[in-house]
Amino acid sequence: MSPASPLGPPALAAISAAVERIIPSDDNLPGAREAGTINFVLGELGDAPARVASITELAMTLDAAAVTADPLRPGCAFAALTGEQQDTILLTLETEGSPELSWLVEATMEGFYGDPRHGGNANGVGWEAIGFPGPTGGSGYEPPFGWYDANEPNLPGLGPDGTTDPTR
Amino acid sequence: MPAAVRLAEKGFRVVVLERGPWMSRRDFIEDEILARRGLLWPTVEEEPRTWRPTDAVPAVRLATSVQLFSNAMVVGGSTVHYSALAWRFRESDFRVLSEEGAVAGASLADWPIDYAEMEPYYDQAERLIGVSGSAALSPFEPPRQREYPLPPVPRNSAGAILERGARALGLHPQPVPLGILSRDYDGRSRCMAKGFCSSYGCPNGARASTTETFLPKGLATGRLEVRANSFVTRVVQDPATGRARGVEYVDDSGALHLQEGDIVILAAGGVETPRLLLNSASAAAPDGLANSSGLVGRNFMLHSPGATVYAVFPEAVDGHKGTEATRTEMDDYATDTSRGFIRGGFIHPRAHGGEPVELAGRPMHPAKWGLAHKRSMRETWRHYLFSHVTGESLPVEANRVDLDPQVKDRFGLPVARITYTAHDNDVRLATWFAGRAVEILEAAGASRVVNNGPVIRKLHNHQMGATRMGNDASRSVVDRWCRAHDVPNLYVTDSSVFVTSAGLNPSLTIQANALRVADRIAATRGDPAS
Repeated sequence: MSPASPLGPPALAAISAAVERIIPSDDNLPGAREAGTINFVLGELGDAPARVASITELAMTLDAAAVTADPLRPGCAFAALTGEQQDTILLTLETEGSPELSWLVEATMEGFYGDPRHGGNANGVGWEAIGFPGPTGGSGYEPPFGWYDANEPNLPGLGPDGTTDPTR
Repeated sequence: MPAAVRLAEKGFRVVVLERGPWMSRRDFIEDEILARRGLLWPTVEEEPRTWRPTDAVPAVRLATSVQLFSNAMVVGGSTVHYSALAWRFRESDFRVLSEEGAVAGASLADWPIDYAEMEPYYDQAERLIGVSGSAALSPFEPPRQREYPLPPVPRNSAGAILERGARALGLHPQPVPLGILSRDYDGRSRCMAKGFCSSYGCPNGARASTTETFLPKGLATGRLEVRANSFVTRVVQDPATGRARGVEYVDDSGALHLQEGDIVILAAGGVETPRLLLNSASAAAPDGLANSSGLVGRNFMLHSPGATVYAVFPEAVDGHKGTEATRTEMDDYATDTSRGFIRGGFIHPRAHGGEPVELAGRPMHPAKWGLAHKRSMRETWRHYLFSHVTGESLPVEANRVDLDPQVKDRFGLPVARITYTAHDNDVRLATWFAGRAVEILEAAGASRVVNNGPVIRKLHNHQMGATRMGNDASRSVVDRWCRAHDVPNLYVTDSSVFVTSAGLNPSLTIQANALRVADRIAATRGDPAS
């Protein structure tokens, strides 16, 4: 993908595929692929050589598990499996408590739901997927903020803006 | 900072040394990734702490994520990012031993000061920093000479939900007193309710960071100087007189300086203040400065190991708007031994402030990743809140801060080693209050509630007790004026001096007490006896 990728092509293919299962592009909503989450993950790796080694190892583990994952396609790479087959392998690793997978899940969440300035969450699609307008960037909000403060009676003497206090 | 500014206003020349940088409003970027990487904790990797539950177990280095749940390493410290809950401690909080009697495994004591002595200083602190609240709407308020300076901030949906649940249970919901401006005040603008609040610096200065409240007034005197990036390595004691000569510090170029002073005040936080005293050992004070009692670092408290309770509601909460905690109930604060523990605390449901990565790691999703997780994120983001529970922790002498025998900081100095296991009473309290939070949230109509149960506390923003205040020099480190029993011109003004923890956020008490101590210093010019 990126010429500056700290991962070699086979590892990059496996890790990209894993990232796209961690946040899949289903329900007609963008996932890690559309958010360019892998760019964020690679950026994180670029700062940490030890992490590059452990994530390369994770990619090799995924590819090794993929070899026998599909009886009709022996020797398949992880990236070439179906989504369900990839999920089965990832779930096994999660059950085994793989710290590398746990790191990748967290980095994927950061690269999908975190601020776009860090290379992921392209065009804020991760925020859009959950209904978050993002930081206000200098403006604020006025009450009511949500359904409950709009509808639950307030404490005596406090008006709709929440602060009106006739005793002062 | 409150003590430094008060003294500058009274004519003293004051130098404030801070290990971290001096950040300003424009540096407080609303970026969750930067917050997770320690924007306000720039030296966290070079200043580790270690932790062990008891002496029997080797200490381990605390993860950075744990260290970020602690006081910021910048000018202003934790006030830069705190939730700014501005509680006065209650009358009984100053006399826990008298109220409760001795408790096995706990080193309970009364404070050498009482609420009446603190009240005028609470009043001053509330007005200096701008606290929004309502005594008229707070039925369990301790006696006070007048109303809060500002009305409560606008209620958010988490607060409305607390009200709804508490009313359904016959409790008395009330505003949370906040050091966040509900109206323009003292040249500062009111809160914009924009989210990204706790754990972030406030870019418009509505939160009562000491950099917004005290510092400008101190600088205006021309007698206060702040030296940022200046790490104090030890307090230097004159062996002939026993007085502190000053402190040594390393500046950002790595140069070592001696800053002399007639008076030395430590306010480095509940972990770093005892560490600094222990790192200041000398031939005259072989066990650490001000430590003839052997109690420096001991009786360390981190508040009860409060569960966090998560709840999802059918209608929109929209927790990315508003300030975080706006309503609570104090009905459960006083001791009720039928609950199986002494002391109490309070529940504060919160707007989440706008942190989707944080939500991704919360325990209420059916899976940690994949389609089920993605759907859960979409279903919960606008509909969830979490409730913190803050409760009193009992002092235990074996819980302490000392020097780690192996791990060193960037200057080669031993780091703080925390030995901490919550007293059983704290765990029972935390468990009961988590159950109470569940009850309130369910009564308010939550569609789902997840209670993660008591946690193992290793470090926390609320660090108290490690240089205990008392009248008996053999059983405390500082006297009622927070002056070291052993060193007549050395004072401590952070929460290290707390004798017991109360079940309330410590910050207003720290600031009020610092003003009290500063007034005393100004009145006596240090040591009235010397």
